[in-house]
Amino acid sequence: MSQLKMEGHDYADQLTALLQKAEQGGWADLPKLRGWRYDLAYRRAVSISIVNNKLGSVYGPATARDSLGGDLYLIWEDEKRSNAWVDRLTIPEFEERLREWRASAYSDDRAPDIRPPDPAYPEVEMYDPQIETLVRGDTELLFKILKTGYDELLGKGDIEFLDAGSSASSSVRYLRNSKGLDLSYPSTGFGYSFSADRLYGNGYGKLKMAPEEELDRILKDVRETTIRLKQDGTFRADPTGNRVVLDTGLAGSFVGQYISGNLAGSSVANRQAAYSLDDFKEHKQVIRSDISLVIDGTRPFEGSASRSTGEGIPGGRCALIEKGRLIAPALNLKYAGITGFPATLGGGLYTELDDGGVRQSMDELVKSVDKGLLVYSVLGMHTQDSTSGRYSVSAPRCLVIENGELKGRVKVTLNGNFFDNINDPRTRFGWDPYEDNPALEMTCQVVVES
Amino acid sequence: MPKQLRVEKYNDAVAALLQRAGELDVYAIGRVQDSKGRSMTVNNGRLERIDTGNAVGVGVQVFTKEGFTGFVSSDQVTPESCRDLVETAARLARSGSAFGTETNQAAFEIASNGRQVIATDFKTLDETSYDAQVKTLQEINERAKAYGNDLSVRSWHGVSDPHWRIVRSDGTDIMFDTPHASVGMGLTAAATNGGQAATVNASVSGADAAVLLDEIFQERLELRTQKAAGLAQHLVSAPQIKGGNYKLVIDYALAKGLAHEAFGHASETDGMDTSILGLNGKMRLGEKVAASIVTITDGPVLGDYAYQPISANGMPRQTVEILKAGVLQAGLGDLFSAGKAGVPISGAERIESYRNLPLPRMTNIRITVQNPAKLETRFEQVTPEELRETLLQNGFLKEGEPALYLAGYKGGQVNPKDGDFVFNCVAIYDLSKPDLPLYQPAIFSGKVLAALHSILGGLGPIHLDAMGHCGKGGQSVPSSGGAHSFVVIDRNDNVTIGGAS
Repeated sequence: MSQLKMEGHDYADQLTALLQKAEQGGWADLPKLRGWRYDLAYRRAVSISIVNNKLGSVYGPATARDSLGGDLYLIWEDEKRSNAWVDRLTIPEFEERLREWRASAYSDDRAPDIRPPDPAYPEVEMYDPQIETLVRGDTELLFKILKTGYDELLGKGDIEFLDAGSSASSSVRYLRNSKGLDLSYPSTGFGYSFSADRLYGNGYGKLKMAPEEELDRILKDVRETTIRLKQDGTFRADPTGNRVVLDTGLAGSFVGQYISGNLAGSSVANRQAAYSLDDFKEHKQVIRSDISLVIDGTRPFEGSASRSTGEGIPGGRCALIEKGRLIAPALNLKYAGITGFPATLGGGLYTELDDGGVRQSMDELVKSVDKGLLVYSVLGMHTQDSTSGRYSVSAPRCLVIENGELKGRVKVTLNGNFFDNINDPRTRFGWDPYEDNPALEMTCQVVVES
Repeated sequence: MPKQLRVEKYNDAVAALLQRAGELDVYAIGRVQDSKGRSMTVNNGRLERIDTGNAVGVGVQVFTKEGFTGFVSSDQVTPESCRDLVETAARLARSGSAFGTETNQAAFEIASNGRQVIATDFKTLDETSYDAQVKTLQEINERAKAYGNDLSVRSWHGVSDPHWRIVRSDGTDIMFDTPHASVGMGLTAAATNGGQAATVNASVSGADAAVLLDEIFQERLELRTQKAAGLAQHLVSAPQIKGGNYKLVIDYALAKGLAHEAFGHASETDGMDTSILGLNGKMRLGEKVAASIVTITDGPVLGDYAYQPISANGMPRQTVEILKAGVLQAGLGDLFSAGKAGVPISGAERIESYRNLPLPRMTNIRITVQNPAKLETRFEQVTPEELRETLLQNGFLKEGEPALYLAGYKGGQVNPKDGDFVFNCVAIYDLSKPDLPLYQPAIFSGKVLAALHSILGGLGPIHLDAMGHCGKGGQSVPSSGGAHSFVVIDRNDNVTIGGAS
């Protein structure tokens, strides 16, 4: 058993014992606990950065972090609830903390009970033992990755400034409750990223080490795209609408902001989302019928991999929108109880397309555009109102597409309504083999900035 | 009476940290944090949840004599763990040297700031009643529901009381607190008659639960909430503005956004190699970069949401006139990069938590202009009609002249390297028309210097409570600031309002 696992295990056992004591009335002047649940992780991570061309400077030195903490949910015998954060001091200061938790206890007749453990939690690969060596302090590989990127990107003279980072982490999760749930498992993380001249960046981030060839591919992409973005272009906006291709990451941001942002159970139930509870009950068609949005926690070594939510709902795969129709909001136990829909399985959100098995590549998508823009990133996404679907964002880094060829860079604002875009029969998708979600081509208003 | 700081109890741990650094012949900076927080949410009259949190930990940054550096953090603040942390940080610093990592010896060149305790006297969480907070939050939530038909209202309130202790190998040992609190209201108007649902927020901020419980804050929040409710309902069916270049009138919250995004980040010395305010790594001091009437100041304000008296490296936080009468005067300088940028250290380093590395950044930034026009009506009660009339009377606007009033700040973003900034407003009024038609919000983007050169004037008194959070370097810290009630920006080809083509 690793030291990480031993320390975390001891802590979890001690916390469990103290909570059980509180269940049995171990503090006579406090009400007993009727139930409890915690979800904590013991994590160690190492990282190193290049900031403004400087490797390991004061703003990005070789760094090691460790932490032990997580969420705690209590039900008292008078049915009041408490939510708290537990940390390393929770054990030595338990009595004081228990009194603080009691002071913050509140009544909520819709709050969930402790959930008994499910018969099974899926096995999902999340642990790469090779990463342990890095986390224990052998950081040579992390330095070497950055040195390779430094030499490749800055050594040829066409890139002036580089920001980059590499990191590795290892953690053990402990999910336990008063009804017998006891799930603990390790996971790892590994990643690196490179951003050139603040124009374009790309990287790798998964729960396992990257294949060796991945670094070369990413550096080549960063270099070539950055060079393209340094060439000036011209674009005349069409007032009737313009074809715009959103790169995979940006397309994911739009879907996240406007579609999944309106699927949150609390927002739906409280009428703070674009979709109402009745819309879900009626399975209303809200996006095009070839598009589905699914939760999937079963993909091995992906950041979305999940054996369980923090409340003990197993990881798995389920649709929130299927063939354009609303199936269920994204629900925790409380809002599952309020809305009558099942609680959402653990995992990340993915866009899936009914394309008859024929996937158009992102390259093919760009080549099919006569006149348009390829947009890598926007400024201002976090300021948009997701309930309205409307967007007005600045895109200072986009490439003009002419007859399927990428030309120089222009700066524009994009304006429109994503609900209209995602329903528009003209909207098309293209897949990058290294990305999990597709790029998206849509029609919107464009204002060219000088 | 100043509060007792919880970080005082870590004397043994910080002594062990400094002693071990001495034994290993490295310079150490230790950053101890002991935070308590409380937050609650009410949704359409019902208490949604209460959360409490404690966070204790220490970050240790060490420097070898040559200036190689390493950083470690842990949530254990004991003598034993602190000794281990120093050893690990020293090992990391030395391991990096084989790869040619950057050196910095600035820490060896400063004098000790001695032992100090700078504690505020704002209410602690132990002195704040949960019941009063919950009851008041539910009351204001209920009241807001009545400000429109079919409004959905979400209210949230948070109080955070972080205590800090910064120790250095030169004997500096400073303890201080940075309490901050806010109340927010999110009002969603349902879609009607083919329109789209719209959400508008209102908030007040300060240092403790008084932001919720004190009558002065309650009245201010109520006025802001009423305004937000009205806007949310009107925005449901509001059309989109035609994109382009306009004369603009922005309120003080947007002006804070302009100062923060468009200028403040560019004046932070860690980015001077690439900033538009830098030349060959030095700040362009003495150059005129804005209209002569414009001054931009940053510095801590006691009781403010972003108050911080001491930097994360244990330096006193200075109030700095970055720009005076349009001329660049000073930067936001941290210990490690101020000298290289050619400006004094202003104690600008901030961190989100003990786990993070310090970066120079703003606290409370404000734009002021010379001879602002008088506007005595309380900011929250200024109507678009009164604003238009005042602009006409003071020569800032001519009848029929294309001009827009951008109301409310929803956040922004900047690229200090090329000076591109964006921020978004809550709503837009067309000032060229006496009936002041309302439009959907649209992104306001442009070039930093173009915007600052185009400032024509200000109206009304200074307000400093426009709150937000700054996400530089992936660390979220409270930010705030302001300006006169309104600031006027001339039409400029490099400042664009997004919208219909």
